[in-house]
Amino acid sequence: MYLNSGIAGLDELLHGGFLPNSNILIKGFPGTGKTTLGIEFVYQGITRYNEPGIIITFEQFPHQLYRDAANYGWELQELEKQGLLRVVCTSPEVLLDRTSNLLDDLVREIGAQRLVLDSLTQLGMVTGDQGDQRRLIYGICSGFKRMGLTTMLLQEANSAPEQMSFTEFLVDTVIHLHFIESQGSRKRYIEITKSRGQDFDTGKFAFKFDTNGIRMLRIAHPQVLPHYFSRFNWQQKLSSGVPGLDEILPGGFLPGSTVLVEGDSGTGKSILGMQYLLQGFYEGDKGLILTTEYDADLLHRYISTFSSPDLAKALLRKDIEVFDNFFSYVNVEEVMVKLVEKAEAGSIKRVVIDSVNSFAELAESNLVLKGHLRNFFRSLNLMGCTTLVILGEDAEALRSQLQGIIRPLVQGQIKLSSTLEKGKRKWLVEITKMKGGEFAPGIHRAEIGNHGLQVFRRLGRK
Amino acid sequence: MHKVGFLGISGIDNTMNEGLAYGSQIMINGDSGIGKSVLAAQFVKEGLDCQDTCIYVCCDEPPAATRDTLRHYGLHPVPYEERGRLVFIDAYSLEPEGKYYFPADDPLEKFLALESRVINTVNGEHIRLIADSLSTLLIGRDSQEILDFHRYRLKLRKKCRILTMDLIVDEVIEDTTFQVSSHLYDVIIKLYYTGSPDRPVRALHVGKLRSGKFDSSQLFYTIDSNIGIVVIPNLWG
Repeated sequence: MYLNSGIAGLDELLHGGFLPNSNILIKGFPGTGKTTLGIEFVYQGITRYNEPGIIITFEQFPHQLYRDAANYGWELQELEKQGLLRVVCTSPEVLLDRTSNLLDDLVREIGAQRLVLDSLTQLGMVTGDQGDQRRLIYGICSGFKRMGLTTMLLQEANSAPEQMSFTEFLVDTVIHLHFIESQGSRKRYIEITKSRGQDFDTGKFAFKFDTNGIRMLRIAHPQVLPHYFSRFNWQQKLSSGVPGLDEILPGGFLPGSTVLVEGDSGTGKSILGMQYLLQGFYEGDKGLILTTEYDADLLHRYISTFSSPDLAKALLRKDIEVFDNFFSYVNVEEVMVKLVEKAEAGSIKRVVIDSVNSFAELAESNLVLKGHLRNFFRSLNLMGCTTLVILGEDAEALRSQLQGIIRPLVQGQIKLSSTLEKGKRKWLVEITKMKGGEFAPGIHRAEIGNHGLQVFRRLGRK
Repeated sequence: MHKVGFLGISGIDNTMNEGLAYGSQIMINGDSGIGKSVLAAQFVKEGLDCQDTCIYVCCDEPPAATRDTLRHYGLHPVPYEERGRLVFIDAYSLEPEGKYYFPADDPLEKFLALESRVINTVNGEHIRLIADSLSTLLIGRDSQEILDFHRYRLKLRKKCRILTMDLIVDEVIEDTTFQVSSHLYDVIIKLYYTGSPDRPVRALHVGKLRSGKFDSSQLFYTIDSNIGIVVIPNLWG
């Protein structure tokens, strides 16, 4: 029913793809990625769906287009040689010349099904009258449809919004590309504002250009994929790696769950995360840790203080993958997508996020962050990952906001704390939530020493 | 038929007709210097003679001193230690020396975790656990903590069928706490001095033997430098 765009993540926003034989308007300021999106639409159509295509440009010479496309590994000339693509560098007047039948001939010649027109803005300039422009563009859109094409029409957004504003009424789908400054960096977003005859996700969604083209950075509402179920044993609990904690949480953590670990500095949160990963190493589970406070080297040094060279082995053998370049990303969604991809590709079973506080720094708002985190945690859960999410010390207001966001999203909650008593540090552990699993309630003693974190079950009744 | 254990002191074992089931808990209570550790040494010797594994928690002196005491009463501990049949937990020293160490003022939860770990580590179908003296570990702790500790620990040890002997020095634990704690034990043996102040005589009596028949009469005893506690037969019947 749908025509797949082939652009990673875009079809999901459209709940499947474009309606075949439709006109899609791509609107954005210069540099937002309209041309790249258009070229990729045609390129993916040819290479993935065997749908020949045409690129019409009034603005660039073919060699510029070839060079730009080659950056993404799209060898357009090769496709032209194979008769699957035509790149037409022309003027609006030639295209509109009724005597030439240029377009009809091309469509027939290669059996084109997709077309990108770059740009509608140039096309409209053939006449200054808005009424004529409207008739012209209506005519060309109808023409594309008649020829059975699914077309992307690129239009420059400009500071005079009334100029050619009618185009949005004439097409079936309208996609806006934005390049917005946010917290000191610019982020790209895609937004669908109209799509006749089909449902679509509303809102701005981040995307980026990577080596293969456009990529949506959306941590989508996860799908339950059958192979997830075969990959993991959903009955088998995961040992925490902390002596005593498995006694309080009989057997350890439930597979496919997210557990929030909260506490001030020096209460053992990171050590708990490291012991959890090391236990995975001993049991043959692969681990993934996102570190925002320290890098892989420092992690190695921390962990060696209580675990001998085992971690070095684990790191060398890549049994524990470290993601320590968090702050090189500008989109929190991108980090989440990256982690989910890593977890999926590496058959990761144990994930540690140390710490989730940094996520708030990259998110536009708490509401947005909550939505992302919900999908992020759920994606990991569905893949069978058991995730420890560490929430560290922060400005009180910020911390309580984060608690409010995260607590409802997780299945388990462990609170770590410490006090000074008679000049001695006293560490405490409390489990305050563990959905679907029993736990020993109350405050238990803990200790941080040469062997890492140890928990001692509270005396007294169960 | 299940194996039963004895103390290894015939004069007392005779008073407990059927011996002690594994999982029983014995409290040895008495003044300092009355002979509790000697009794404990004989209990260990008896255990090792009957193929039991013994875990000895040293709270009042380092394990080296306890080894000397055992040697004194004819038991050479090292070969047993090498075979994992005798294990010491050092809850006395200021710095860790042996394999199992517990700083005496650390939380009791931690002690329990260590004790459990040692129990799970040692081999042997029948295990004897001796805490000499447990009361030292409880100094400075509040009553509720002591009671919770006792209750929870003894339940755990009973569940694992460990034959447990706890030595409690008189008047270290506050009276009410001591009374409540003693209810938790299956066997209570009290050691004390009797006779005139000029010529004190050592005596003991079995104060309790839960679900078993026992003779609660006072028994006089002496400490022989080679054998240990020797109960003096009641020649007058």
